[in-house]
Amino acid sequence: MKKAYTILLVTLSVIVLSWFLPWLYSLLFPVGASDPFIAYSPISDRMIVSERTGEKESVIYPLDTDGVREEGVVYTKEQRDSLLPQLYFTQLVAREQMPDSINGIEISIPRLKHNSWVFTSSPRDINKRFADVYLIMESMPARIDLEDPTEVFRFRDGRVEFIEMETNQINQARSKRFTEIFNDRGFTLPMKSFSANITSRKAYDEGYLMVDDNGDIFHMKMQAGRPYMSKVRKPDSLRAAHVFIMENIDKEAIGLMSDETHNLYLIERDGYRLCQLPVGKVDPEKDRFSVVKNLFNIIVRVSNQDGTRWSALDADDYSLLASYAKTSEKSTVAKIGSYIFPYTLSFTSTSDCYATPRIESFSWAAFVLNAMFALVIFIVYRRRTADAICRPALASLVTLVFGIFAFIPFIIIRN
Amino acid sequence: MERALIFKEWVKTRMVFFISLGLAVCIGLYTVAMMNRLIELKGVEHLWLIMLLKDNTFIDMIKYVPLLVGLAVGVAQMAPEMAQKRLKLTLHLPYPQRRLVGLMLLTGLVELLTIYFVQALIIMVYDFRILPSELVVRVMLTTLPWYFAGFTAYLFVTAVCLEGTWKRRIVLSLLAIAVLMMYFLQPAPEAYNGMLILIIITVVLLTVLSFGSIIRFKEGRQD
Repeated sequence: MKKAYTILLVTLSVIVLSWFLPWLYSLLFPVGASDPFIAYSPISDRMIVSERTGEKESVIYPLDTDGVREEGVVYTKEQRDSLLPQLYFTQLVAREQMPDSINGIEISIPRLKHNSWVFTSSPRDINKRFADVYLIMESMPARIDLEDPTEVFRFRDGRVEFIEMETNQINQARSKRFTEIFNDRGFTLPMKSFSANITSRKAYDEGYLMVDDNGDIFHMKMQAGRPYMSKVRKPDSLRAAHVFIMENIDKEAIGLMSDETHNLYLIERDGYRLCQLPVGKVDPEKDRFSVVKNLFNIIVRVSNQDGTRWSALDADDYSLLASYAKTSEKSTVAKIGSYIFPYTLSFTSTSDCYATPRIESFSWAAFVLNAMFALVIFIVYRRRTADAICRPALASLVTLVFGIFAFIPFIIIRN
Repeated sequence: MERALIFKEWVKTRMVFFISLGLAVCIGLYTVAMMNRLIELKGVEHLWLIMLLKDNTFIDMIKYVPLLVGLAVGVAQMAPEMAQKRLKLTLHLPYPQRRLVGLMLLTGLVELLTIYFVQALIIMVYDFRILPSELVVRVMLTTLPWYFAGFTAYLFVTAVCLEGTWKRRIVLSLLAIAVLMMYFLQPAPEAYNGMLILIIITVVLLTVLSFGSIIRFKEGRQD
């Protein structure tokens, strides 16, 4: 029992220190990093980068088609406003510099606003435990304004069950109708991914985009209490992984989809046409991404721990206009940390809503310090214990692996 | 002998047990009353919407209650043993030492289990009236780590109280704070589902600490 007590105490100490020390280190030496703002100019056909260089200073410059900064070209804010009228039209109007047309396209503020939208997705929105009941709105309310949902649905025993919130009772008639349409459309349970935008503060409701167990995509909504469900046509080889519904004011796209091989697609509203976006691999479970659309182009930004990349696409045919990538560099604080800590333990992450132990940031660079700690422990334990080799060797071996996380408890906890 | 030992532990802790039970029940009922008030004011649909859209479980008020109860029962049970130097007498009873310590811990853990069960039952019964089973399970799974934090707090308190040296008490207390913090790192509903098995194993292993403290006490490691 005494051995078990000592082992447990040391193990607990190593676990706690593996979590606490790296956390304390990052708290004492915070590292900030910000990405530049990048837009695509329909005037100069260049990506325009606005990058913060100091507390209040920023530099604005263009990138060539290969994503390389053009030497010696720096813009003022006024020049940038003129190059990006789709974004800075209020400034241009105030200065009476707003053009009537760009590239033969007539522009006006209402038209620019009508064709602009932003979509963002974070891994944290996906990597979490969802309740197994789903709110559903009435897409065709009796009055014009949308209303908050009064029912939820769930999947149980191969059926779709609608539950009235007020009574907590099943609406049998609606459950039957929806179960029939799910069966008719060939929806295979369990549902792999879903997306809905449940709020009455929007212009219209498109219900749900869903992915079934076969990787097929379905669009489902409730209209006047009755089901509407449509299967999105796609090649059999393409299996959807995640869907994201969009209810934009221009009503051109119904949503986005990523497949199992991490390609990103836009789902057009008319005919549910799938359009692959040439933006490289996007894994919504790991990557944060945003899609910013305006009258002329679409900027897709994909970021993860390795870096950020931007792709500018044509707003009409989604062809690639330009791209730029920036890789994350390890900060000095992180480099020093890798010489101290052989690994780090954390229970939470910025990319999910789970609490689970995760061992990461393995560093061979910390081996030198580990060896020094192990030597000290060997000498100290030889003096402390009557055992000439066995216990000191074991303690120093543990220290060699766990480094500072084992060194501290071995020094503090005697016997 | 076992009955006499359990009675001894019960005499020490019954006051704190009933106060803790009262506190747990009152806060459980208050949580339910707050949900009921929200339903009266804005309708049950509003409660469902907040639960599903804002990831709210409406039971945040009970979050630290199991922890407090665990600390209180642990202190009430073990502090007199050390403060009134009764531990030596207890250990001289004609009864196997491990079973003796095990029985002491079991008494405390059963008391905690009773308190937690009653509180969880209040919330569960109310939730089943207004919510589907999926949401009730979600709420109860969210509370589980908090109740295990209570057991963890109790086991650390017993180990600290039974420990004879201040240096080791400080080490155990610091470890206790760090381990207890881990139960409250992620506020999202059902965030701890993936490590519930690990939490249960940890709680079982933590009982070893009290046995270790007793062994050290018997070895004469006291300040």
